[in-house]
This record gives sequence, structure tokens and C-alpha cells, in this order.
Amino acid sequence: MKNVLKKIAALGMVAAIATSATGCATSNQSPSSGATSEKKSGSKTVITLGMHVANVDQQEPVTGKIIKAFEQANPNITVQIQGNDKDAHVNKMKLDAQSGELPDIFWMDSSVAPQLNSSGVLLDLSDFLKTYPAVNNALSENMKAASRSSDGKQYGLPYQSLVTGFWYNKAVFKRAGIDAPKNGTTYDELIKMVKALRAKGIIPIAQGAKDAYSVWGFLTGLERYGYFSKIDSILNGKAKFDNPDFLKYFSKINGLGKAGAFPSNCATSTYFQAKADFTSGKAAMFDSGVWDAGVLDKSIGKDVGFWWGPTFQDSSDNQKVSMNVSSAPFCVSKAVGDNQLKKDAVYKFLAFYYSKQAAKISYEGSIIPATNYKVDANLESKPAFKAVVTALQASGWSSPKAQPDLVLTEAVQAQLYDSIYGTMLGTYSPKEALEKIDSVQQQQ
Amino acid sequence: MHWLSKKRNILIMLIPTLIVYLVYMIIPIAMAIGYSFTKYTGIGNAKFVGFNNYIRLFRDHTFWIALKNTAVIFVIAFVLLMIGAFVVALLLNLNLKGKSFAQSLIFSPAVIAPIIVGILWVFILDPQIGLINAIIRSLGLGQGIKWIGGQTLTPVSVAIVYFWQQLGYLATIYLAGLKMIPVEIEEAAQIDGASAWQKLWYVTIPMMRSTISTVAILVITGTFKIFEIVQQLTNGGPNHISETLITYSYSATFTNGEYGYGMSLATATFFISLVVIAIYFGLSKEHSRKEAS
Repeated sequence: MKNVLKKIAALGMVAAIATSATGCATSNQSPSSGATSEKKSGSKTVITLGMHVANVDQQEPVTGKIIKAFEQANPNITVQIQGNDKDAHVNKMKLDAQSGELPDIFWMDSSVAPQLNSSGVLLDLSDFLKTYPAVNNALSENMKAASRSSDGKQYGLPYQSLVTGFWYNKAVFKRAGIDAPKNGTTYDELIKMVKALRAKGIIPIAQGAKDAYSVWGFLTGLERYGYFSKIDSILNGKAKFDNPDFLKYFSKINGLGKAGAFPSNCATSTYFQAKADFTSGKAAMFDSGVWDAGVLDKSIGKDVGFWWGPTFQDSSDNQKVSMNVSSAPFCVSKAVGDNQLKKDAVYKFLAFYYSKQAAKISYEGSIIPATNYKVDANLESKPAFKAVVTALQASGWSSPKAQPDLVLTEAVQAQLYDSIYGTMLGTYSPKEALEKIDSVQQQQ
Repeated sequence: MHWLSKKRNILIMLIPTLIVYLVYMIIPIAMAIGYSFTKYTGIGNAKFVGFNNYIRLFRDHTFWIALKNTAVIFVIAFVLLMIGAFVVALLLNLNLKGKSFAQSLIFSPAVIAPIIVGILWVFILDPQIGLINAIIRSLGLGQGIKWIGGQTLTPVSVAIVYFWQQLGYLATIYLAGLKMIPVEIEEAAQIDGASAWQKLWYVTIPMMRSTISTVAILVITGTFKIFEIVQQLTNGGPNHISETLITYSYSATFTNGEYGYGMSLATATFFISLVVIAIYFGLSKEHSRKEAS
């Protein structure tokens, strides 16, 4: 009864805002009954998988292929997918958590997963890692630590590796008569590149502020000013985002904006328009990640390169920072632990998902898996993906424990994105941008 | 018929409607108000924080920007729609050639989903890829104007798009009101020697009072809940400078996961729109009273 009341309460609140704003998000559910109660279709055990995309086969084809391979290998288990667009999915998971109807396994935003864990609705996967030591070994420590609470509970496991940075088009740089960036290219050198590209009418860095989250390459830069050495103090209220190091960094972003690094319609462009500018050869660089490798293989081919972003001579922190971290985690509903049959099926699925076979499927689909298996895959026909793999193999470059935004709450995360774009566009001064993040952090 | 006239039976027949109204309107509004006094991430239990969200709201720069933008949209859309739709209805009420075709054409934007309207207008208003600036550039009149994405013109553009979308729908409501004015009264005014302007001012408008009120309420409530157009044109950005109350409420609730604060924004929007409606009714009552005396 309490759960029903909670669900009604949560639905009521959604309905309240829906009375003012209708048609806010699209939802595309594949057929599923959706609860965690034991389900058997004939002799098959059915496990439910909540995903952050409406159509897994089209939008996350690698995951779709892994699921199909798993079902082939385990004919007595069926994976039933419940897909929704990201925002709708996250909100639905919150509602489902309130009513005890979470899918068995589900993708969850990194900023929300710790809250779900605190509310006690997630299964501790430490037991899974003990049961499957091969998986435990295949997942590097920073991958596991990203979804582990301070009391040691493993509340999630990485969905994939999150590799982000700047794509660049060698042909466009050649057209502008300048060298493309490489590991170690400094901020001052980047500014010179920006000016040279602008002089030739080329957009230096494709960005789309309408999708505020699309600032991946610029998040990496934060770590070059010691983000993870400061963030715990900031989150504890002992320090601030508005500190001399971050101020230097935000001034650099502001400097790029003033130098004309971004498209003139950046404010009204989406991430997808920015991608179109890059793939059509209008832009020299594009802030994105490994997930775009497949598209870039087809559109730019051998001319595409991948860069970790500029280094900064006025920082004493490590500059050789790459970004290969855990993406948002897969979580498992705590209710799964109450049903041995279901638990076995879920464990088998996770063991397969983090297997060498699944890793091979990932590499073949231009996705870096969360695991570190050595896999033979022919990358010659995938130049963009090969560029990422090459960047990852760069000697001396290492990744932090997480992407900087993924250790923040949703609200602070949103303000960080807003502040970065605000600084790029000149809407905020660097100091104002940082003060805004502090202000939201104080509200948490 | 006797059965129908019994109060008890009337109440019984009203029950289904009342239940729907209660469940989908009253309870959600009451709950939104309740949640506005809490800190809630959508997970676990909401924590009562008293008036903290409202104190934060008054100190929140973005709230004032959203309120200012909503006010700009409201004033422009209200003036344009109240007058524009009435003029269109008057024209459609004349026996002009091609009247039906014109009526269909004017009404057509109202049948397009607001989200599509937003997408459509991006291709007209976008500073870089939009049609208007392309024409300005091709005529050699400069690089164009920041119709959307800037601080000044974005709410004006939103109001214009909303005007374009709603004009035909509201003109149709006005037209229905015009059709209900008895012909005899207009004829009597004509016999008494009233000019076209006097007929409009002393006969048509007073007899359209209830229709005008309906349209006014629709415009007030409509402008306070414009969501999709803003979402498509600018998504409230860049950096919240084009947020309206409702897009900011959505952003705080669902993007930032601050359900309590989002509900305080929704509640504030609700009460502001109530106040605007009350002011409108107060002014029109005063006007009627003066006319009567």
C-alpha cells in the first residue's frame, strides 16, 4: 500500500507539471510488462533491461548485438528491453524505484545512481564480482570504483568505457595550411590555430550549446588544473569552484570564445548540428567521444584524428590527462536478490556482457568496452576508432577516476555545463561562471 | 425530466466529471504546492524545508529572467492576439470572395503540433541558417539579426511565433461570437444611423463581452504555458537567458533533479497566472460598471 501511495504521489507531481507543460518528452517502450516479479515464458526466464535509448538496435547497436549473442548462448533466458529517451528513462527509473518496480538491470545516470543506492533499491554487485573473478579482473579498478559507495558497496558496473576528446579533420587543417593538433599541443598553440582557421573561414571547434551537456573535451581540461585533488574539499564545503586554478582554466575557455573558436550560431545549435558542421568539412575540430567513431569512419574516413585537448603552461598539475573512464553504470534492482532463478539469470547476463566475446563485439562496433581483454580486431577499416585506440595507447597519458561532471549531483552537473558554455559564449565572465556553480553546490 | 431536475440526481451525474477533475487537476496542484515546501530529488523521501525554496526563488536571477521573458511574451501576444484575432474574425464575417479558403489557411497553424511549429520557426529565425537572415544577407543589408539566442529579441520572437500559431484558432472563437449577435440589433443600429465604427464600438464589442473574456483567458493561460516553442527555438538558452517560467520549472525539476524547487517555480507560475486573470476580470468588471452607470 505504501508503494502504491508513493507511486501515486510521484505520478501526481509529474501530472502537476504536465498541467502546465504538455508533450515534453518522447517515450518509446518496447513491449514489456516491466516489473521485477518472477517471469517465466514457457520454460524461459525473462529478465528486464531498462535502457536510456528508445530503440536499442538502432541507437546502441553494439548492446543490441551483445544481447542477441547472449540469448543465443542462453536459450533459456530472454532479455526484455524497456527503452526510453534518456531524460524520460531517468525519470521513469525514479518513479519505478518509488513503487518497487525497477527493471532487473538498468542503465542509470552517474549522478542519480548514488541516490538510488542511498535509498536502498540497488543490489550489491560485490557478490557477482566474487562469483565471476574473470569479470572482476577484466574491469580495472577505476572502472569499478566509479560505482562504489564509500561503504564499499558495488552498486553498479560500467556500461561501457567513456572516451572523450576532440576529433579533428586532417584535410581541413591541410586546407588551412597549418599542422593538426597532437598530444602536448598547448593552449597558446591552439589559439594560433583558431586564428589561422578563422582566417580561412573555417569553424575551429564545432560546439552546440543547445545541448548543454556537449562539453566533454572541456571537462578533461578541468583535470589539468587539478580537479580531482580539489573536488572532495569543494563537495565538503571546505573549498570552492571559484578558486585561482579553475579561474585560470575558465579564462582560457573565455579566451577561445573571444578568438572565435566556436560557431557563430553556437548558442542555437545542437550537438547534432555541430557534428554535421564537422562531418561536412566546415569545422576543423569537434568536441565529442568514441561513440561517434562509426559515423566519422563513414563521413571523414582516413582524415580523422583524435586529440585529448590542449595542455596549459600556467598549471602545475599533470597535463598528460586522457579521458578513458567508466561511463554511466548498469545497476541491478535489489528485488533480483530475492529470487534465486532471476538472480542466476541476471548474473549470467552480466558475466556475458563483461566477457571477452562481448568485448570483441564492442570493438567490432567501434565501442571501447569497460573490460580490458586483449582482443584481435581488424581496425584498418575503422580509421576513427583506430585513432581513439592510438590515443589511448599514448605513453605517459593517464585517465582520472571519473569524468569530472560524473561525481556531481544532477543540479551541479547542469550548472557546470551551463557555466562552461556561458564562458565560451561570453554570457558569463569566468568568475561569474564559477560563482554560479558554487551557488548551486551550496543549495545541495 | 422530473428525475433530472432532482438535485441529488444532478450531483450523481456530476460525480464522474468531478472525480476526473479532482484526480487530474486538484490533487496534482495540491501536491505540487506540498512538494514546493520540500527538498526532493525524486528518490527516497521528500524533506520538509519550509519556505526555503521560495526564498531561493526570490534570490534566483534566472527566475527573474524567466519572469521577465514570460511577461514580455504575455504582453506582446496578448495585445497582438486580442486585437489581431478580432480583426481577422471581423474580416471573415464579411461576405468576401474566398472567405472559406482564407479561414482554412488562417486556422491551419493551430492544427500543427507546437513542437513542429518550433522546429519550423528555427529554420526561419536562426541567426545562421534561418530564412530571414539569409534574405537580409542576400540583400546586402549586413549579417542579420539575432532573432533567437540573444537576450533581447528571443521573447519577442517567441511571442510572434505563438501569435502565428494561435491567430486562426482565436479568430474562429471570435467568429462564433460574432455569428451569435442577433442581426436585428445590427439592423436597428444601422436604421438609427450608426456608422460602421459606432456599430462596432457600441453594439458588436459590448455584445461580444463573454467571448472576449473567453479569448482573454485562453491567451493568458496559453502564454503562461508556452513550452515546446521555446524548447525548440532555444531550449531556454543560451545560459537560461531565454527561459520562461514553465521551461525553467521543467529544467529545474527534470534536468537538475530538484523536484522541490521545480514545484515552487510551478506553484509561483500558477499563482502569477491566477493574479493576471484576476486583474483582467477586475479591470473588465470595473469597465462594465462604468459603462452601466
